[in-house]
Amino acid sequence: MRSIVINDRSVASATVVLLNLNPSDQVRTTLEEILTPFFKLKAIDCTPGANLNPRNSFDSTNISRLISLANPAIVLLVSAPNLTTQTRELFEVMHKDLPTMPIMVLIETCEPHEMLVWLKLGAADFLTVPLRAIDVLPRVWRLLEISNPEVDIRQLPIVNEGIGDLVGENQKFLQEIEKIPSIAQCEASVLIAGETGTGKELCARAIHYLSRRTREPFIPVNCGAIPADLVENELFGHESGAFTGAKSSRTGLVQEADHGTLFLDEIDCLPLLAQVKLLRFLQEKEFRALGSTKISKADVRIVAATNADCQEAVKSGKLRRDLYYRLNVIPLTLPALRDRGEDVLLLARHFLMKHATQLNKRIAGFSCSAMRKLYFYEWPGNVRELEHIVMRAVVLSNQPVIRADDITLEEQKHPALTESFQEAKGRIVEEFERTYIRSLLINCRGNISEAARRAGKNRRAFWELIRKHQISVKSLRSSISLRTGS
Amino acid sequence: MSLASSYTGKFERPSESMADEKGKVAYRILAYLLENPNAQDTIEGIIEWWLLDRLTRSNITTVKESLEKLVAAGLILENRGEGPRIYYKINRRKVKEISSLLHAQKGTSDAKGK
Repeated sequence: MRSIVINDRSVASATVVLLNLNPSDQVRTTLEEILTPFFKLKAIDCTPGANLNPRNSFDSTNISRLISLANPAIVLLVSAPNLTTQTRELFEVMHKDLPTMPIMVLIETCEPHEMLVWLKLGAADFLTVPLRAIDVLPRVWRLLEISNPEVDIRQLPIVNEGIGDLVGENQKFLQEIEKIPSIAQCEASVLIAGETGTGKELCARAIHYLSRRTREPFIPVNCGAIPADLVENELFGHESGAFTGAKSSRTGLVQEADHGTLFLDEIDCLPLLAQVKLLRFLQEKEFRALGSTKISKADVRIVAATNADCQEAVKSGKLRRDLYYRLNVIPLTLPALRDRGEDVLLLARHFLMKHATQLNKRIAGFSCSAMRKLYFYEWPGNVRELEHIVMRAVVLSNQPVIRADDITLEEQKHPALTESFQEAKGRIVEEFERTYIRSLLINCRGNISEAARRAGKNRRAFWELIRKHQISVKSLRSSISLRTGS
Repeated sequence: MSLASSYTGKFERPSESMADEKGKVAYRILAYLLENPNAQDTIEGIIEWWLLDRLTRSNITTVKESLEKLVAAGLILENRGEGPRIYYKINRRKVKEISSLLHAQKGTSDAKGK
């Protein structure tokens, strides 16, 4: 057995238990081929027909005891496609019996949301097919490194400080943010979607600094800010003489991010040639600098982000489909600030504290009119715009309270600025009713009875709503006929 | 990536710089890099994740000037590429000097505390 030294510690004697529920010989054989040269491997067969576990009953207690006897550093649980529920139950029992044991899960086909479910359950990491040594071994080695109880990144004070900048109470926002610790635990690529200024880089950084790569480089790149003909050079570097003016070699950002995280913002702005090279790097962990014949390797986790509609970008050919699938292993979607109404004032107070402290100004808060102004604004620039507006107000204000006049916003198209809370609520409810009823009627092809049933209302009440919002059912039916040709 | 490291200035001795907020921030950055020699990030990451003190984190001007000071002294390296971002990392050739500086700075703080 070869001995491998990682960070001055030998892991040649580490035992890995392979807990196999998958009847396919191919998966087990491939794993054994990859792992046996480096680790002591103990396989426990849980497939149908094995003496240990009949197909319909998993003796999980017995398995926990068997695993303890083997005293492994890691357990690799190989799932079967039609046994997801049983696998999950087995995992939960093992995780409860052996809470400090890293359990890596192998799933043959997995949707992105499923991976997050496993990570939330407590899986240390996961693998999918096809299995390759370059995917499996780094993950196992990382788990072996982090299983040192002296190095528990979750206990470091840094964890709480950095993630504290992600402020909000909106449910959709919190649902996404709460995924970050789980996402940080694994090595999969992440694609963060969200409008400009919603906090994509904040999230990417949190993923990095909460992960095992926390002590390694975090390299953020805005792909849209680099001239298209220079992007490939920027990412992959060049050799001396590669082109006119290349007097010396230069290390690219991929190499700079070795063992760390590369954050590629505005990934849809990457030129297609650079996308091809990036895709190859994602698949093979290899790349070639411009003008070089040498193949270089780097161990980099990629977190990408976009403010564009990815499906549209793929359809239009701006983003390669295969690259999109490679990046979108774990998706994260940050809502726009206008969809997080309850967070506007919370964030405004957060930025007020931050900038007032920086400028050493004593400002107690916002006046009521200032709060209304902030609350009803559309925030096209999202959280970043809010921070700049508050910062400007703090700089210019000489009062103990920020007033409405201190807040300069772009002109709005509708008169929401002068609305009271009740007026704004009434307007929003009316807009919702009109849109909802129209959509329902279109879906029901103009059938009022069916639409009323789906809305949970009696026909008469529904008809009253149609009249209230002056919706012409006849016109809707005509337009549906024209569209469908029926 | 061009590594801009102009060794034009010496980093002040601890007794001169301790009273200076920029100096304190500079020492914190050096301490982080000594403990995490592979770390590299932009100013935003340094403020959000390397510097734990909330007051320091919020003062971007102080951090920026501290970084400039450290780059000028050759203790950290500045990576500039074609994009607008600047990445900072330790100058591995100066690890011994950084270690001595931090040791001396700790001695100065201990003496003041007595």
